[in-house]
Amino acid sequence: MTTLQPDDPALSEVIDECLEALKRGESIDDCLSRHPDIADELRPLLTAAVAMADVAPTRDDTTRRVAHTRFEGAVRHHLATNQRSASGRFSIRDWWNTRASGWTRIWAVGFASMALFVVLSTGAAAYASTDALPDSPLYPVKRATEHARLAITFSDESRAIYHLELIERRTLELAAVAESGDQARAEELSRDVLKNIEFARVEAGYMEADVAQAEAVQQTDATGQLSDEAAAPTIAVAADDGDASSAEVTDIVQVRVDPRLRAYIEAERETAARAYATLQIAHQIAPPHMRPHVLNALTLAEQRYRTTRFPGEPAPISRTLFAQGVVRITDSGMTISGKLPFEISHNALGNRPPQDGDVVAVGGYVRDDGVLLVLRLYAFEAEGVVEDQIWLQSEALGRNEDVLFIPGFNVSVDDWSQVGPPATDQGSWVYVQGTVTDYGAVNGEEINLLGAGPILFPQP
Amino acid sequence: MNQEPARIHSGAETSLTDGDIAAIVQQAQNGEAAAFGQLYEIYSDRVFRYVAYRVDSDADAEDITEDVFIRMLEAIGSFKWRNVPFSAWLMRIAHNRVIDHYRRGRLRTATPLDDAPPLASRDRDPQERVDTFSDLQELRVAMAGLTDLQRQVISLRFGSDLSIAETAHVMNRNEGAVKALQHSAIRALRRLMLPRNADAGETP
Repeated sequence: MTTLQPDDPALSEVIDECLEALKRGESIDDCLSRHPDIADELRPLLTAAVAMADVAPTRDDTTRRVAHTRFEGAVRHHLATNQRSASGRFSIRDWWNTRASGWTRIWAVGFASMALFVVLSTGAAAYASTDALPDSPLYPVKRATEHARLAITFSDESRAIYHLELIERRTLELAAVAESGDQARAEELSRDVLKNIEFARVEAGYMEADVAQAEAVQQTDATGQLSDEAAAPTIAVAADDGDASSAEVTDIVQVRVDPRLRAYIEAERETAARAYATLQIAHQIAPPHMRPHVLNALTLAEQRYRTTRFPGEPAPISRTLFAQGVVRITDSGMTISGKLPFEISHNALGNRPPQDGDVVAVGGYVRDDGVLLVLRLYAFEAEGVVEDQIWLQSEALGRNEDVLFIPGFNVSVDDWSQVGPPATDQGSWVYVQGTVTDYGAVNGEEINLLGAGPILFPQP
Repeated sequence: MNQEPARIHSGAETSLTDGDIAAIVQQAQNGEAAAFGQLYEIYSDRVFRYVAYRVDSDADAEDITEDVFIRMLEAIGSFKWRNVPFSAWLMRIAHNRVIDHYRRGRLRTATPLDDAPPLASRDRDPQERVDTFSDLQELRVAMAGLTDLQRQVISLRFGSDLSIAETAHVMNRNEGAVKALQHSAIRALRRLMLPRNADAGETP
């Protein structure tokens, strides 16, 4: 019997040959039968390889779709930016026009009835105003038409869906306004986005309540006949295995979802994803002073996407939250203050180190129980793709923890408090204000921020 | 108890030839948006799996995957076909992003948020030889016991589904060395699969 040493190259060859065979669909036994003399050596190794392949990472479809959408946005921006150098200045208006036509088509399918209503009831001006930007004379007509339509939309479902459409419209307008530099208007639109998000949620809440009621009625109904609801498709969602009480739950639970509700939830996710992609691009090309306004809406869209869940779909154990903060650099240290609800990618810093009063991106994690906070401070390039630049990072355990630890830095948190409900699927708003008290290993040293220039950390 | 799954399901989802890929890459280099979309479709899962084997959480893997494609978008003009397959070039970017991720992560002292130890692993009969991983998290924990090169070879071969030749390109090593690394990685993982008590009984 041949025995091969563990480090024998011949054994490596055989293992590789077997792995390839397994990938083609052979079984372990098939492979061992070709190498009976070293089967005992081979079997545990191939078993390990198969075990490893069995738990291979998988990516959920929605995540992939959203990521793909974001990437497409980046591609468009990249190509547009490249064309800009050839054809003069890139205009968000051009970009808006190309986007709007595509989306108009998309919405035309879902909202054909709306278009019909608009044409029939308020005439051609209202119809023509659908794409009007805030500085257009037709814009007030557009908004008035929206109000009118909402007033005569009665089902929870259509109202919720209509609010989603309004989110999309406001998002596009905000993107266009961001370039014009009209801060007041941008702020207003950013608030409108929030309002529509909340309204949509409220309507969806009614819808959910209706569905729950219908199901309760159905359960007491002894006819035994399947209703439409009972025949509703099921959606597989990952079960929460982080909770002791649900430790018995298998990996996948089947949740029956009312088809209307499901359609709404899918629409909400799609809307949030598209709004996010739009605003991300808008944020990149907006002048610096406009970015905070875009940021507000961007963070809302981001959070909306992250927190939209199917009934029964468990909350994530933790979520990443980023938002804007303000840097205060004084003789005694650097202060960061801001709200930390969402993810953002850029700031208005430009190619220079943080200065007093700068708006920077601050990020963190807040667990659903609201107790774990990770704080990061990022400085980014003014335009273009996010670079890894600076990360002051810290973690705090427990609500009463008053010292955040940043490796290399110590941050004393003067105050941080939760704003809003502590543990809802809306996430937790956390207000943080802190001071860097110890620059640790980098005391008195310069740290080079890629793309943002060096920053000198003061002596304590 | 030995209910081993019979085979490895290959993650390969494409039947495209090298020529097809070359054509798509060429279109992307010419600035055709649709070609970038195709490349994303073809490779994003493979990049994700590669990264997901190597970082602590799927969320990080998703972020890094996004980053990899942004880099690809910016850098595709500099990609020359020559002898390097596109997949190897892309995974090289992914590798660099993972390294960057760890460079940042090294500064982090607390445990990552997402790696609560898997519950199932505590329930095992300590005397039983374990032939499976209960989930990806458990595999990640085991993979932490590998050397960096071993982790890389596993991620490239099993995550990205690269061939030995492509893996050799990414790792800048010859094929024999890659096979030897693959072998040693699997052998090490096999050891790491055993529950602690049983493991302690084994001679190292």
